[in-house]
Amino acid sequence: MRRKIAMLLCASMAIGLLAGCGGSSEESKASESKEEKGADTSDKDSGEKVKLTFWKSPHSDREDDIWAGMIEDFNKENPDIEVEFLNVAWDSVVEKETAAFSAGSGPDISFQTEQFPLYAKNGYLLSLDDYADEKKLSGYPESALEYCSHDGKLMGIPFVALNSVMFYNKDMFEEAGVTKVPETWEELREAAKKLTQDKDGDGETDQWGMMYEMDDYWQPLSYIIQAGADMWNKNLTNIGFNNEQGVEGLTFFDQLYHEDQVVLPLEKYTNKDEERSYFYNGQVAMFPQQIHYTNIIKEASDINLGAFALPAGPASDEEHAKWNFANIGMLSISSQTKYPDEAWKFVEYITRPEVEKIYLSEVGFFSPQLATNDMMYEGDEIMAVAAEGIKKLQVSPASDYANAMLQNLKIMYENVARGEKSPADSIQAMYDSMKAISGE
Amino acid sequence: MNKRRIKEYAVSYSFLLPFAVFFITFTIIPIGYVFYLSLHDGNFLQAQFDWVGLKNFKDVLQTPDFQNAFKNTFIYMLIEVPVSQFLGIFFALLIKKKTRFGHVCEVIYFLPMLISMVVASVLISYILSNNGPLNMLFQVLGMKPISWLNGRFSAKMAVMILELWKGGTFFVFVYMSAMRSLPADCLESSRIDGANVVQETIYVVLPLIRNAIILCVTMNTIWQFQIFESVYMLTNGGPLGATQTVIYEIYQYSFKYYRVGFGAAASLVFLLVILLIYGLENLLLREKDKTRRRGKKNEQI
Repeated sequence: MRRKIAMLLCASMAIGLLAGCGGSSEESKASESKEEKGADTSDKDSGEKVKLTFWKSPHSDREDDIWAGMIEDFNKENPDIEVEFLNVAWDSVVEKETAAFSAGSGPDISFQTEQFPLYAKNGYLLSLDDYADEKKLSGYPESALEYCSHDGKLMGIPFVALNSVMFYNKDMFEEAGVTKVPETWEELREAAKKLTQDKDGDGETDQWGMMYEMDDYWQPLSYIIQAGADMWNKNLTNIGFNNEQGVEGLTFFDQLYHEDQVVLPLEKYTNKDEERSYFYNGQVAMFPQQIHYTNIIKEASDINLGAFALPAGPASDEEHAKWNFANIGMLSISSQTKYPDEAWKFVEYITRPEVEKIYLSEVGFFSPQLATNDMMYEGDEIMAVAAEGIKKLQVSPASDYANAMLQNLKIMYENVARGEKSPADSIQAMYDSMKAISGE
Repeated sequence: MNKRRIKEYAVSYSFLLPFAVFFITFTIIPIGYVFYLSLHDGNFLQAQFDWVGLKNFKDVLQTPDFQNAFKNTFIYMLIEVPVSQFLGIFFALLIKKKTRFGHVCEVIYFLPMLISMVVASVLISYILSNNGPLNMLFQVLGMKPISWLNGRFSAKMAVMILELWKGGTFFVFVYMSAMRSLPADCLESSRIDGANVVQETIYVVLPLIRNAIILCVTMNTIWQFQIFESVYMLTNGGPLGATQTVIYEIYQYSFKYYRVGFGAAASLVFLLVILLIYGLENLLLREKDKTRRRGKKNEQI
């Protein structure tokens, strides 16, 4: 009898395990989603709130608070919609979105940047052509709408625009006798040399002309592009700077590090906070970064902060010579959403000039709707420097391989900054690595 | 086969059934799926994968990143396994006697096992940062601060220290339990014969806890091949790939670079390597067992 009971228990455990693992077939998925949709529609009909999820990676320490306020305002206008905001860290956003989209549970609304073609190509983003009418799109420059499109379909509404400037410590410039902000590479070298000093006379440098944040992959790239190279190859699958111009640009970066020794050395810091503290404490004079760092720097230190446009490179055309990293972030709707109309209501609301400026001015961004920018940063000397560049809004194309590009750019800079490889070998290594990833 | 025999078989197999279902569902099927992925190219966002045959395996063996990751993983294994076993036995010898001091040490040794790897990594990265307490101590002592996580060698050391501290304490407890269960008469007779502590440890204790050593070495070898969180949290594989491990690279290629087939092929190659090393370890230990048994047989004759 005991034996029979034990056997029965074992059999029921096995069946339980099997049952627990079951239910993943397409048929059951489809019927499940149908049932869910039915239930959701009935929820809508019965007057219950529609719940939307919105994922965005942070550009500010106050990201959650800013969105809480904006969502509250949206809810006042749309009491039947509830938006849940999720702050997804930058270093894991691609993995999380990929996992969520492929599992059929992607966010209804998401903030997308240069990686979006991967989702668009595989049908995870909703085309907004049917929602965004001419009036809505009239405020955006053609280049912004082109950037946000894939295969001729609009995949998101441009929400933020940014570019890069060189932040500098005005007092350090004055003290070192640098009276004019550098406008060319040579002037930058000269200024950086003057600003690099051994203040206490112990034979070791304790003030540097510049620093580069290694996690911000884009800034040293400006030298490569300013020398006349392109970021991507024609198919957007590998780098476009595996050539003479690319080597010239990276050699300039190498010269700043090793020949002139004007850049804060890597061994001086182990993380972003340690590195930034050198700028905040007046030990580094210049720091190329994206414009929204204005607020971050101002909050963290009381240095006499200024900004100027990145010095121009030797490229023959102005577009290359004055290149600085600029980008657009957009709000997209998932093709998996059960509530596309409600999701659009949210996107449309957030991208209204008077609403988006709340977020943009808090964080320190510009709007891709150029008219909105006139309502912000009046009299702000630093933002005025960036605003000039924003008007042109030259954005590098988005690609499936943007994430791979970012990871490998960091390795390329490190190879040069640590003196492990020559600029030419570093670029070749990056090209090989990208080829191993993309096959081209 | 008579009815009774069939009944006996049915009973035996029914007891195996829950585990068999579990094993097939969570081990055999996933390995089969990984094998399927390794012959295809694509990412999890695509509806269909493209057949590429053995191309992914060829790429894995030719990619410098993976060669570097394999090399690093072996370095971790070759250094960590002997060091953690030596330290495990050493500390177990210190606390094997049930004294008050021993109990306090047990609690101290047990603490790292209670902390998650993420927390431990954050803690270690703070301690080793340029402005961290370790460098502050160096400065107080008049020494130059070291940028631990910036040097190729020191970053590797940092990962190893974290792994040793976090995982190594487990072995102290395994060895301590093995030592505490040793027959007291063996130890007594060795002392009567005039053996000192070192002789007693080498000639009596270690041979008697041989099975525990085999278990710990095998487990530690496999764990060392699986290093991921410490690298991800502490160094992100840097500087310049100095701390990259195979699992970290598999993660990078599968989830950051969207080459799922490549990651799957690398997993299978790695699985094969682990199985080979495990088989080699087993073969060597079994050989020793056989030799010993043969010796005993001769003695009896």
